[in-house]
Amino acid sequence: MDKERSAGHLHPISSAILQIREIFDELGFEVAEGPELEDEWHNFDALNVPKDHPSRDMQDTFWLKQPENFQIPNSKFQKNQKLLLRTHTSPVQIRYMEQKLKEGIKPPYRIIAPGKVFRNEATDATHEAQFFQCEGLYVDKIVSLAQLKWTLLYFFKKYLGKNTEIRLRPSFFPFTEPSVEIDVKVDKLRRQDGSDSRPPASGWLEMAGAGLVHPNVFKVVGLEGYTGFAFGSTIDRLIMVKYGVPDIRQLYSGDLRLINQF
Amino acid sequence: MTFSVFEIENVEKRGNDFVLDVKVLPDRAHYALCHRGITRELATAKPEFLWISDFHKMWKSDIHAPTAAKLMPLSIKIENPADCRRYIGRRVENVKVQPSQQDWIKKLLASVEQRSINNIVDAGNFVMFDMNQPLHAFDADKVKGAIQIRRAKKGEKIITLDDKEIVLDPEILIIADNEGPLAIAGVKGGKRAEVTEKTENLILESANFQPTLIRKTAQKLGLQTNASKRFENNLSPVIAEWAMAELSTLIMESSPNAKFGEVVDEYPVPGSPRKIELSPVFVAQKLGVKISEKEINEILARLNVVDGLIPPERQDLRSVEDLVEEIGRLYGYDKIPSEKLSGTKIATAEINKNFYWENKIRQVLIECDFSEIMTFSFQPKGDMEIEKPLASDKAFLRTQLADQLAASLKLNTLNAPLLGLKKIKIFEIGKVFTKSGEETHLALNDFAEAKTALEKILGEKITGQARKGILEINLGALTKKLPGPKTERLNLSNSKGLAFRFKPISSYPFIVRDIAIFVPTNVTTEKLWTVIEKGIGKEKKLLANHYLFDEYQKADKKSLAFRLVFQSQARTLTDTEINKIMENVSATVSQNNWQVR
Repeated sequence: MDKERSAGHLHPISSAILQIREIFDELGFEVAEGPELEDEWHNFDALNVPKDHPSRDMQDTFWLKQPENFQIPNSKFQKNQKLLLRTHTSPVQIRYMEQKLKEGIKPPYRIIAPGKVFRNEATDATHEAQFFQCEGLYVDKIVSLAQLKWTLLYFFKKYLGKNTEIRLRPSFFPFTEPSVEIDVKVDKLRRQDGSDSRPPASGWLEMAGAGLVHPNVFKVVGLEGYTGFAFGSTIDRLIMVKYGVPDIRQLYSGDLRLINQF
Repeated sequence: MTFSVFEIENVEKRGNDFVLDVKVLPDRAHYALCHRGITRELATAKPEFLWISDFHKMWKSDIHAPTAAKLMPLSIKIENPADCRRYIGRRVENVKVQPSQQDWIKKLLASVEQRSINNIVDAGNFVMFDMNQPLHAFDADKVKGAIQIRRAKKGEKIITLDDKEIVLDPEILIIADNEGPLAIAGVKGGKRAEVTEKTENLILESANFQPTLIRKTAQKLGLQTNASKRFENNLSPVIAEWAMAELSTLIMESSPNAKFGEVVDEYPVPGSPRKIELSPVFVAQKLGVKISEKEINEILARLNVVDGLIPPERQDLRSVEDLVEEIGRLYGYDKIPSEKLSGTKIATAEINKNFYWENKIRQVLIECDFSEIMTFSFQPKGDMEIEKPLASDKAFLRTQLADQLAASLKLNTLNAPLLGLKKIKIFEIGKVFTKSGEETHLALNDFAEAKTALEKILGEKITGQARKGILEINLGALTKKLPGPKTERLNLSNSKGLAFRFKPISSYPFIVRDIAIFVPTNVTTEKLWTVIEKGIGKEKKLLANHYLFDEYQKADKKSLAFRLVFQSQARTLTDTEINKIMENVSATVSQNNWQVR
């Protein structure tokens, strides 16, 4: 018992990212990445979030004081670009499509983009100013909501157990149309002390946002006429639901009392 | 409703009515932040409620009601049609301003947390909550000359209804007369032409302003009002005429002797009808389910979309994709089948190099008994500063990982007995932000052996900054030098099964007790442990950890030393109670004729 306990432990977020990657690898999704320090264009404009529009309020943003002569590498608009901490992993979609087209590679594309994101909001047991998201994107000639449904069901069954169910609810994201919220119902074993401080009575938990990629997004990168689906889920929340971690803040406390349990 | 349009967060019964708490999404706010918008959605979702929408045929009520009398002319001047898309004004004479007499209006306003003020203000608020159109009334006798909708001049001032003086500028749209500002357009009314109990004559306003302009003004002045919230969501200019009609009708009810003037409607560029052609094939491609043309048309009819003609109040319906969403949600997302993704192999897919190497390094370090931590990106000092930080000690982005690793080391060293670790070995891989931009770093303590192990796997010499026993490496720069990823699958996730439940971290102190026992050499560790466990008995729930930490042999006997760590999830344990447990353990061990040292 001594030997086993003194061995190292992977952080549960790293471990979840690897698991997610393994599941999506089976479906041919590759991993893509992008910077945490983003420009306004990639984080908002390119994703069809208009300037001075109420939908920007959906994501409270950490803006940065502009350092002199600072440029984000590979930024499309290098001048007068306001810097921010990315509020979601969705800008990776844009960066990936830009990069692939630069290399002359046309869709189909299948990617997941796990990474850290930031929201300028008060913290509590279920909200933290930094957390991890995993984005998914599939671009092809004809991509349907039915395929999105299958893909997410495939993922959640693999990740949360084979009895897991999902349902789609109408929602709004500027970069998808139609937009849906994905609710997940995990089987009884884990639901009992689920981590949500406000669990819906029926046991359904809101676990991801998704939809069909808005044509304006394809227009921006130069892929007019293509279709696709995209989704995003909070990895911290997946871990909290799966294992019953009660407080998101504990994931970033550097505390081995948490990490070494995994 | 939750499955057809938006989330109902709460339903509260109040008397014979129900108060719904609805999470209205930003794209639907322009038509749904009001009673009619919500009932309209209810009727759309549930055909058995379609009678509600029949009731709403009065949306199209006569703009000129009640019948106009010949009053003093009203002049309205819009400086720039881009700022003000429509302005409907109307004079009303001989009104009686008094507290609202009708209980129903007071009750309905109270249900949306609005105080009843007087019959005129209440009528305006009622129409706003009913139809989404913010309205305003001026005391006509205090207005000098034409109503002008223009940008404020630099340095112009206004006293608002709540007695605050605001200095205006050309970024702000105002309603003015010959003497100056009367109101901040779409945001707040001014004191000068306020309606009071002495007011006899009114000028009513039902207007439509440019959403971004209103949003920026409200943000700049810190004046987010019920009116500004609605205007910034891009109301349809069509609602303005319905609202004027309803406002006039309500004022006539509370002031039967009032006389209504001509409706003056400045509408420089009336919106043209929008038409969207939609093919059933496109719907089927997008949703992945075949819906008959007949059914599509039935759904669209529920939305008042007939022959592709979009109702003017639905500003959000602009493209075929928007209509696909409407059809999908009303057809029912639950009825959409799930369709397997075909072809799992994308020819051009690559293994991400950074992802591969970062995880390879994780694997090596875990094998060297390191645990991985993740810490916060915010620090009290750094090179990149946040505009509006959550707290002053979180105002900068971290420039290195070492500081928080050191803090984690300190915390975990205190907990080492509880963790059952002789040595704390930790690392972090994460982004830092320096003057030259974003970098990926790796930091670790106790690094001598691990560094050698890493160099062996990576085939590169590792250099970094070593400080106070912590090595910090620019991992991004190192990865650049490494070859492309191998196709090898990293078997790292080694994740906990579904049955694993996280054990909450206790906030109470732990107590450590060591016990060393001489036993004959043929007694196994496991056997001894079962005896110790028997001694602990029902107090086992307080045992947070235990492990063998020392073992040696002497002649025909061996000494086994166990460390027992006690901790409660609910309270601070006392020495006395732990001593009692240990006495029981000693007694049980002695019963076997084994000797506690």
